[in-house]
Amino acid sequence: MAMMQIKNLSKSFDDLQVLRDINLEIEKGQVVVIIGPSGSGKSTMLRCLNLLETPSGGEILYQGNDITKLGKLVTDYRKHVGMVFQRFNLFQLHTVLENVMMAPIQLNKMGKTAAKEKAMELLGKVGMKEKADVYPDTLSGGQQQRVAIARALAMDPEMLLFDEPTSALDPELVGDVLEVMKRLAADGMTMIVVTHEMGFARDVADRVIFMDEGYVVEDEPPEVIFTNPKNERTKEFLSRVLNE
Amino acid sequence: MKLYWSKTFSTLGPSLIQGIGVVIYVTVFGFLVSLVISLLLAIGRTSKYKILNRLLVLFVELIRGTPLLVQFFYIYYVIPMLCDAFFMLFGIKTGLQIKPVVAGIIGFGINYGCYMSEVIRSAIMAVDPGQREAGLALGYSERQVLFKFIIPPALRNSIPVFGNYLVMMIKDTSLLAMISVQELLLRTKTFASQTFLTVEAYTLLALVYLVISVPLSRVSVVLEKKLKHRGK
Repeated sequence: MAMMQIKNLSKSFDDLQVLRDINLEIEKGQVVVIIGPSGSGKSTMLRCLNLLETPSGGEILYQGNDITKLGKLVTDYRKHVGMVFQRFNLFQLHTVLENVMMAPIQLNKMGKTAAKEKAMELLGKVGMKEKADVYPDTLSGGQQQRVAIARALAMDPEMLLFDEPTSALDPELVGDVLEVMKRLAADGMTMIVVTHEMGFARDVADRVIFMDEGYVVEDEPPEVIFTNPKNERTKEFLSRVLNE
Repeated sequence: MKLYWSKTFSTLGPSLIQGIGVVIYVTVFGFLVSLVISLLLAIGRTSKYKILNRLLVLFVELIRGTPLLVQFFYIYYVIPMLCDAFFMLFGIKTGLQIKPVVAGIIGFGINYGCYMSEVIRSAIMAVDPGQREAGLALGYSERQVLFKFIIPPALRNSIPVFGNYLVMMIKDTSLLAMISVQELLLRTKTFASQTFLTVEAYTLLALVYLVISVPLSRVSVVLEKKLKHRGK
């Protein structure tokens, strides 16, 4: 059984329909990259997957359970699905180390020493160990994003959602963040990534999903979608972004 | 016109120093109560229950729409009478009285609490919504997010404004002379009416207020600069 099954997912904001009848299955260990023009609904879909947006219709099955019916228990589900945001969203009043270790301590009842040890290990993994004791606003965007990834990893998630993780970064800082993401993918993490980084999609993704006007237009392995897209809209979009 | 400064200093001075004690007492407790009330009001206003929200708005408008001095009178004279009348319905004689100082603390707590709740509320709304989403995404509940990631930065950003309110409250303690609290103004008024040293007495009074409030204002400005350093 697929780790996550999305069935007939739809989402409207008042009169505006943003997602229309989305059906997807995501297998454990897969790296799924979602691309598409802005306003195509890709971020909204990602945010529906951990219920930061409430779907208007359809089901999202995680390990067979419909998460849209969890009610208050959604907090337990979210502990298993980490999220990395475009604007990092680190807790500004806490140091880098506290950002990474507080959720395991407060939500998973992890001991302080163990949590700290683990946080330091994760910070090492993303190359931010030396900055453990500084506050987020002294870091560059790329550094903040790497801390945000460590923070998400600290909860031992089974799946990670990335919402345009490099879009707010200066071009020279994008590489470090992508490098960390590539290593995660290589380690077998299940990842759903909304991004404009076509290079990342081509090199790392198992599947690339092209969305437009709220529909999933195409869902293919990268070698197919980048060399031989079937749909006209995909072709047009790719020729636009790849020739920039 | 001959001015008797040394007599004013030696007689009114010690009395004013005692008065400062009263002012500090009322301000410290009044401010603490107003902090608690403002926080409760601000948190109540984030509630999703519309009725609670409306009631709190109504209460805040009621308080902000009437003068502080009137509220002091109301608490000091009217509330005990209403309580009396209420308990008389059950045949109980209470003879309730509120001490002037206590009435002052309650009045400050409620009045400043309402104004400061608006400060906290706008600070809460100014916290980057990304902080909430990050907390939720990690698995915190809405309530945990509110108390861990939204209220702390909101309070922190409110501190400079709180500083201004503290200075205002110190000056507003002069209103308490009207309900017979032995604060600075009442002491000065009594002294002036007994000695006719009106110019000296009220000049000294104004100086005392300045000496208290100017340094405090400076502290709050310095604090504001320091706090600006981190976070939004």
